[in-house]
Amino acid sequence: MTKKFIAYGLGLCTLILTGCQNVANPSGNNAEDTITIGGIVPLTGDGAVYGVMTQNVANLRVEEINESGGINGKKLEIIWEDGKCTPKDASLAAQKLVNIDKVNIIFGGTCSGETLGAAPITEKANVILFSSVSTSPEVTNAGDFVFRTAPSDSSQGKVLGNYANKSGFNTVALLSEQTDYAVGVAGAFKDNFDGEIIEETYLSTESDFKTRITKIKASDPDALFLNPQTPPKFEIMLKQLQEQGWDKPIISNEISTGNIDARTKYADFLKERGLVAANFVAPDNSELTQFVERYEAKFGNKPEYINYTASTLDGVGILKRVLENTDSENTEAIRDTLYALQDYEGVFGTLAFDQNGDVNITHSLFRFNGEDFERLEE
Amino acid sequence: MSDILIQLIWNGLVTGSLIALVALGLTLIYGIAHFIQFAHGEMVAIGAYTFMVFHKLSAWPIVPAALASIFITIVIGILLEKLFFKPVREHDPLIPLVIAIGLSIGIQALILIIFGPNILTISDHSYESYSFLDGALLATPSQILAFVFAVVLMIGLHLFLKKTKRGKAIRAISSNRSIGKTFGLSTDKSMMWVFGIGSLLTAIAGIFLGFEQNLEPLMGVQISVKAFSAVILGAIGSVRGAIFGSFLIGLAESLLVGLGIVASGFTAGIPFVILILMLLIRPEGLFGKRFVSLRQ
Repeated sequence: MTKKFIAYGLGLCTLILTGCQNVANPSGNNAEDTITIGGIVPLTGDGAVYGVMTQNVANLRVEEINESGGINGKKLEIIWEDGKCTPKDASLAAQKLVNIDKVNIIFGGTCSGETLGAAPITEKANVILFSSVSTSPEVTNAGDFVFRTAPSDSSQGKVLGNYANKSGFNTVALLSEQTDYAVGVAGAFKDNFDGEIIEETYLSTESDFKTRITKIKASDPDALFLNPQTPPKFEIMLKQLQEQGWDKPIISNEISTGNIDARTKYADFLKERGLVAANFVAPDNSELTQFVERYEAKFGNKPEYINYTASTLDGVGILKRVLENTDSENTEAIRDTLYALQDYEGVFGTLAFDQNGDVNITHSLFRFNGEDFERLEE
Repeated sequence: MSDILIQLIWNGLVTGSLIALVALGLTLIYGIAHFIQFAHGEMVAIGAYTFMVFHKLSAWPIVPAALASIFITIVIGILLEKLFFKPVREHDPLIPLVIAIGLSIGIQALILIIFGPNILTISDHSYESYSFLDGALLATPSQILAFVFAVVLMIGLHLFLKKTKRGKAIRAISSNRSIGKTFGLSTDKSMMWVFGIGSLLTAIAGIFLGFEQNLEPLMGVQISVKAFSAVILGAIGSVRGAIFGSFLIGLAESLLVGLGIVASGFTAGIPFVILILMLLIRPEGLFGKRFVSLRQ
């Protein structure tokens, strides 16, 4: 019995020790020749559609950086955590990355809620939180150590609001998800649209919009603004709108622009309702095109969102540039270098951050032509 | 407002039908096994995903694909009972409850591993809606079938429990397991039937839910939460209570939100508000006194 006890005890100790070692040094690389940063993206749930894509883009870019000599000879490595597109899970992920993995930089979140959930933890620990996808206007004031290479939705809401005004819509129904991102877009739209708004909201856990659509139809608005957080919700909305015979114009946030599946399935429906969406798009350039080809070769499909692919490439590129010139342990120096950055030539052109860590990119309008999105002259 | 009233009632009936299919299994299982089968919602996802595999990936027609999906879900349901719940049948109900929670998480993770986190669809197109009453009511074929199936299955289940020998045996075992045993009734067989029937109903709910809202690994969670509320609302263990509770929740969600009485953002909270009010007014549930016999 005693022998058995000792054997179990030893086994348990080995397990714990091995486990601890894995947590402290997950890659097994020597800390001296590796710069380890954290990453928060939604890897499960509806948000995984662009969470996994963002992770793939960043990983591929990091792989390429490492193959071409790394950062001053050091390899760059990202420890990924699942933020599940929620503030709660992102804050848990940030706690783990900051307190256990001791990272100085976290790349993420993807969903705005993730970034806003992680920011209080990273701010307190003076850790850089660098998002390439979060666009909520709230992120602007999330903290001194928070930066992003995706534009704020204040510009998305503004172009869509102006479009609705120009189109002569007096009443717009707004079907909006209750997440930081969607609330941010809705707020900016409300600030810019002069007409009446009939708002129906839903939680991310809901997928049944029948009653909301019935109610919206009865209020007879001039147009419908679809404002989901994730592509799957956009697709379910289209299905239920078509089933209930929705026949008025549709406008949408940028989520619709990347949802290739949905817009192929509902191409005629969307074209007939003249879908107009806001989006931020990188100018044509070979760097992006070639990266997309390499991505397709590695993962077997094109990245669904070219805009987030571009902003993620710029994000990793900016971090590389900053880490080449700054001590990776000194987060205040990294922060100051990021604020001082004025001449980074990225996929989106010459990029710089303002005093809030927001990047100098804005949204434009696009109309769906039945196959793809065409830029609208504003 | 009356223009949309008919559509809202229909929306509520469809939602109520789907909740009822899940709630019936839950209440039957509670009635006989005396614990809440927390993994019951996952049987909805198993039904939906297996149907998707046969119908979409293997291109089987709808009926054979549905039958295959229902059969597999029933087998899984019965296996879960034999492997996980039977060994702890005589233990404190807390133990099967914890096992059920573990199974629920395990099945969700398994679906996530096999099918990935992305949303999947059963068909690549939406179905044309039928228009009734001069356009006052639009209903898709899957909604009509969901409602018809739910009503037929409810009546069928009622008749099965009341009229057949097996149904009477289930009720007897539910009422008092040890007395049932002394009369030669097999608890094993009754359990198998109840888990099988429960799985059959949830598989059908899963298939219709897949047509209505598409497939995601956590698709069973939302509807099973509503089904739990419906079961408690009607009186846990009561078949008629579960049916009534389900339609009450479905109609309340649709009418309160659709008529603007409650803001749409609070839709998910409606079942719980009704549940809390009911528990305050009538803690034994709506059918608590008259129909609790199935449980005791």
